Amino acid sequence: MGQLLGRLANWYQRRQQLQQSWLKQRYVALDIESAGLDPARHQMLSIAWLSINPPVMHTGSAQYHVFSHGQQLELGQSPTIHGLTQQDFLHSSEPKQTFAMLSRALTGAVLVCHHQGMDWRFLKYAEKQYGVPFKPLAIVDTLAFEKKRFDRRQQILKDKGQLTLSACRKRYNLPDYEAHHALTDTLSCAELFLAQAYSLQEPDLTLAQLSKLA
Amino acid sequence: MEPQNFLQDCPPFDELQAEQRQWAVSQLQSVYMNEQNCNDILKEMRPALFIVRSGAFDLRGSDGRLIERLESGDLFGYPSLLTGREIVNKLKTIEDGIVYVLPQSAFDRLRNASKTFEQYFIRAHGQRLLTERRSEHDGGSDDWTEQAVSEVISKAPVSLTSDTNIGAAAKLMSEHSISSVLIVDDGQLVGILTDRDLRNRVIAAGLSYDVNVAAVMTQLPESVEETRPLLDALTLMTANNVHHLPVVNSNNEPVGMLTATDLIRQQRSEPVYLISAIRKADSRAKLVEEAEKIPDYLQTFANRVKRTTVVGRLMASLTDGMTRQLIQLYEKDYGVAPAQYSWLAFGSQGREDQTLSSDQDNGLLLANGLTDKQQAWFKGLGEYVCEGLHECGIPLCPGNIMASNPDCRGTTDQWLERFKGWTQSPTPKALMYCQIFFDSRAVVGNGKFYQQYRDQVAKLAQNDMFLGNLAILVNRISVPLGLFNRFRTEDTDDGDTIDIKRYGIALINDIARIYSLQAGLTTPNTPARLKALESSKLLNRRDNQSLLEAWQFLTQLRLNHQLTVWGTDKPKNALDPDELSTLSRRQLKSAFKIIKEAQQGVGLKFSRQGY
Repeated sequence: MGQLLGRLANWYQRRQQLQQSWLKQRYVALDIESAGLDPARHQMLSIAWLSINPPVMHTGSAQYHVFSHGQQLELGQSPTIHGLTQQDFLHSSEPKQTFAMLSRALTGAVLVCHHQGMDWRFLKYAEKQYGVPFKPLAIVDTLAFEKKRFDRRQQILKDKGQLTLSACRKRYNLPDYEAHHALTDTLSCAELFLAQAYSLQEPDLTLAQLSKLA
Repeated sequence: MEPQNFLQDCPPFDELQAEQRQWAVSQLQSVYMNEQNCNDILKEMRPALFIVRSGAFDLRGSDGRLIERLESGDLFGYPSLLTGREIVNKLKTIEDGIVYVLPQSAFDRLRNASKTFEQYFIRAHGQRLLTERRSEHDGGSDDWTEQAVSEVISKAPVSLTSDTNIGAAAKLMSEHSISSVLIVDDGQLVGILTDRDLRNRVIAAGLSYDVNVAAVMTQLPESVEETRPLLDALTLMTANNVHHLPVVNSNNEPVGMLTATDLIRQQRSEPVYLISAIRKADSRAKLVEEAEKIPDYLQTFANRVKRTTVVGRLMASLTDGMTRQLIQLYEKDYGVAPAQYSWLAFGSQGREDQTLSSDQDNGLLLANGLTDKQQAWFKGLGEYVCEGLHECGIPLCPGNIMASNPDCRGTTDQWLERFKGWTQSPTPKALMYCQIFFDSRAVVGNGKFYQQYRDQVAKLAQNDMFLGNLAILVNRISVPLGLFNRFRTEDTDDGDTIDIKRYGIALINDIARIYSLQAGLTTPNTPARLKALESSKLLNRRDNQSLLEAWQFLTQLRLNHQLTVWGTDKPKNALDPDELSTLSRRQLKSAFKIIKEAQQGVGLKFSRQGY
């Protein structure tokens, strides 16, 4: 009974928060680099995240973690793709501790990813693997936002390249960053998210409304 | 990796050691800045160092003037970090972007850790303060009018001796494809020969080409010293209506020739252009049309020049130009002047510290013994020109000191008689006239005719009793500083204001006038008077310099104020000291203190009663 009430309270709280302005929320931008697309077969190589309280991004306290997976290190694709070197793995993190930290960061916050499908799949897998819950308030996908923007403007998407992180950033005049490093991509994604959200020019837009757009 | 890569190339972070820079990055926040949030960010995150990563933002002073366009790699917010002062500047977003924010605590730690880092900001802060001041008062950067004449003249001077014959002179001019040549005897400039001289005085007159150039050259032409700023040359050219100006060194030896084309080449949009447009106006309607452009033009000009005293001179030059043009237009309809005369500028136009709101102060100096018919010609001239100037936007003089008033059209004898009366029995009204009429300058007419008369006026002024009375008058007005050095403002409809013309600029003009009358100087311009007084025994160099600085500060402050209130019905000479920056307020107080001491100085030196 108490558990049920607790869930109800949580549900109510979440609903309340979704009705507040997008500017009042805390966000966590996140990026995962992995050896492949399937969490069951491919290892997560690195993860980065950073908190945002619009318009402020807590850049300096961004988290960046590399996983060496003990002896089973397998870079798969060329290490340059992920910006990782052997050196980085010497400073590797312990996965369970890292995910526990992320879990705390995500609670009550909105997860922001570019192409959330893959990142979320890896997070769900880690959730099971390490028993650490990830319960973000909502998920905002900067790629989906961009795709819907094309639809809203009835523009035709010519090729998928138009939706890459760097192509999207270009449309908002954001600077060119080197891609495919979890930390840089997280920063890129965070900046893109703010650029997208501010471009709507609706300070009263609720989080619920915003997440429908992305 | 971002933002390390960026900071590595961004001074002064490039000077930090790698670990220090790494640490700096760990302290950073970044913001997505746009028009909706930029000023809130500034307000909420200060004190902090802001580093522009992308986008473009205009930093504007509290008065709205652009201080700096901030783009990728630019820093702002540090003056407030260094001084603890509030940020008064405002941002305007030109293009949205990312801005890094380094909080005060981190900034201070880096300052302590790295001397080069700290030095950078101290230097930058110094420069910034100057530009802040500059944009507050006179803005602008590149100012060609400040350039020395010697920087513009290129060709080595082509010269001849005065005993060369005209034919040889013309041949030499043609060989060098020049339109004028210097005539030099024994190293000294004795004359100038121009295309126009050859046309008018030789060909049209049917003169033999064997005659020496001495017969047809313009003798003892106006010249400019090579170290003088171009504006001086420009003023001389307009004042004398010449297109060629010999340039001499300090020994009066000719070193080159400056032409109007040289000046126009400097910049098309510059005053020469407006002045020459005025000169070309061939009807009163055209002239009025050109004159209407002056306020807008002056606004941009004032934003560009460093010393705003040039704005006062430019305004006087433009008024001179309009006056000359109106006189020519009058002559076109009524024939040339029937006798020798000078068109006189008094007051601010005479002193060349004219502003947009200065009204007309002018008169006519006429040759003695005119017939009624000749008098009528000059009466018509006075009325035509004053009315014309009024149409051109120079307000009529409420005190009726204008050439349209018969009292202001006098023969040499009549004017001298009036000056004699004023100086010998200085009634309050007479003294008031003196403050206007002693600041005179001939705008049109024979230079010698005016100068001879003016020398006589100068002699009349060297009268102790008269000067003593002027000194008493100057001391009747007390500067608006009260107890504890507070400003004493006047409660007006426009708030608590101080009239910086009446209590500042005019007092310095009055003080400089007394010293220069005593010294027998005939120049009306206050800075020129002070310069000429540098060797004076009565006014020591330090006080002289202080007065000049105070005058320059106040004229700048006034111009700045006038440009701000232009087009509104706010007072043009009165301002609210609370609206000034701390720096300007401090400067204004010290200007008033200088004036107060200078008043006491003239009181002691000139007035028998003593002060």
